[in-house]
Amino acid sequence: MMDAGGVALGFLLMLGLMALGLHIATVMFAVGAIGAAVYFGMPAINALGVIYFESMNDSLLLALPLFILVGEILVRCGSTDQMYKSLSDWLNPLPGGLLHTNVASSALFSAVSGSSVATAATIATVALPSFRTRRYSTPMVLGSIAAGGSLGNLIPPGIAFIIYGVLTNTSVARLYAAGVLPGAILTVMFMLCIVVLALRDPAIAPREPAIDPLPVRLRRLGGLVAPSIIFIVIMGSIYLGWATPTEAAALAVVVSLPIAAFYRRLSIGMLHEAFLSTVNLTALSMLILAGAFAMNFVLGLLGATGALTSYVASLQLDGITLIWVLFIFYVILGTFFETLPMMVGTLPLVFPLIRAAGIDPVWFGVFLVLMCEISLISPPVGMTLYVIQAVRGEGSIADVFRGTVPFFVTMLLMTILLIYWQDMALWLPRLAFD
Amino acid sequence: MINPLATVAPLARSAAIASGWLLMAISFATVFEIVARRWFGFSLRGVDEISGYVLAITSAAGFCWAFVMRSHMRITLLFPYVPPIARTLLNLLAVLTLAAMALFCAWRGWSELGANFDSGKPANTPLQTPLWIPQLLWFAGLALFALTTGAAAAHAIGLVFRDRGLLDRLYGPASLEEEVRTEVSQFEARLNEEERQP
Repeated sequence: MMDAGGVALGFLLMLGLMALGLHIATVMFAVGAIGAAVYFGMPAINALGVIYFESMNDSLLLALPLFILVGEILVRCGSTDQMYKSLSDWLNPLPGGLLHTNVASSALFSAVSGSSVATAATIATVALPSFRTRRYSTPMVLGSIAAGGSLGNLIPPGIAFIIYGVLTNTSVARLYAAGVLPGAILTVMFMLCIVVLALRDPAIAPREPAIDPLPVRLRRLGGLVAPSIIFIVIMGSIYLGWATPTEAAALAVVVSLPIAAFYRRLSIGMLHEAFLSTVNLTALSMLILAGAFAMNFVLGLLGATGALTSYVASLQLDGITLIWVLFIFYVILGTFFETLPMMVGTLPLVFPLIRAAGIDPVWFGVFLVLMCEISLISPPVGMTLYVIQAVRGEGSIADVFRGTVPFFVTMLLMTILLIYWQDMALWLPRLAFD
Repeated sequence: MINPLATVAPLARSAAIASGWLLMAISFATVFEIVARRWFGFSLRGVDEISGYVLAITSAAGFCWAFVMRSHMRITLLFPYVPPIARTLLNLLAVLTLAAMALFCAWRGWSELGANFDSGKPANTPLQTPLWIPQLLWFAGLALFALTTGAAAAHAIGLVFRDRGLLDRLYGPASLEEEVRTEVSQFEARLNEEERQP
């Protein structure tokens, strides 16, 4: 019904309307509704009502608000400065000193929190005062916080994998298993990047003075307990087969309450604040997702995805070439798109291509989430970068941009590694499930 | 003229808080279900189904709250490069199209609800919940969103001729500085509180 040229035109029209500043959800929904009205008339319009309810009535997607809620409660526990101090005890001896703690604490915190913006603000608030009296390179300090925060989507339990899983019918438990090794490798690569830069130019990071005695450091490990408990509860219950990812999220919500009580922060007022942030984030994501489902439905009816797939098939690209094309496409798109619209806006068209090319959907999920992380730290659009700058409250945003460059390059290298060593993502899910 | 955002804010806030308690309740029910299934060999049946309804209700109830908070996502990359009058018109266009979508969805939601209420059609699940029950709450959220955005669109049209500055402030994107300031001030408040009660 539609040829590949029509699909491309439609996609460009969608991007154009988004660039005009219309709401992302409106644009996607309108593409669906107008397509339905023009080509099929009333029956398809009626069906949109059913689709709209069914897209929100999804027990798997409930994991989205629940994980956000866990993060919102943990952020309000105020245990982050203890976590930061404890990590610095062990990481300071490395060349690059306190910069490693920025990466590690952001990674740890963003792994259990649903929002990368909240992570960046929290870690920046805790970390930046420590640097005021030390002579570190400012861009490196800021860049390491931003880079660490972007790790959270890849290290389970992230919400990006849930959204990908729901949109493509891929097992979230498998996606989580697939994210573990790449997440760990990327963390190590960030640290190696800091070590290399610090060895080449010792001026960017002074050596930290002598560390505290072992008993003090061991006692301070208590700061890591809260995020570790949440992480173990979620991953443990999923991989022992006790709970689905959604049930694990519910379990984490319940477990976060005694943790908040332990830090003496549990109160009705605190919970209400957490609820308001959670519902706000959930609603803005769900409005976009519901729009995307409506668009998907109509694109399917129109045969748009089929047209695009057969056109790409006629080009006779091999899998690797297709991935490289998508790699470049997403890096460019990522400079002006945030994670959610980037994923939701492109998947309906891209995912059928991936299937047709015989690329593993679990592997592609990891690849796409990595692309989203790159978009988080690539200027000029990237909320985390501006939040870090605002917490800093002095100097220029250009310092933050400059600081992310080495980490941006590291992520590009990581992507290439992931493309040519696909087992990095696929090995663990195979081990756990097959 | 009344500002629809300020008028509806307390209601939207209450709906959001109620949804939060709903999330809390379903979490406890789910944990009960996990424990019962794993160690006592029985199942409540239907927690899964209710989870779906909770998400639908929470989302719909939150749409209006997110609108009041100006959180619905827009890309405003081009805004610094267009003249102020064009920016104002784009803001107007955005709120008009959002309202059109919200009204359309409320209309479709209403006919969904009506059809299921008349037929009493049960969900195809163990609980066989009559679908109109969760859909009633879901529709209430959609209706609140549609009424609020509809009123906001009318308000914005009026403002084009009277006070374009106010239109931009109310219906423009929260400027980056504003957005960041809200985020950061929340964290600073929290930090101060931590210092006061160590």
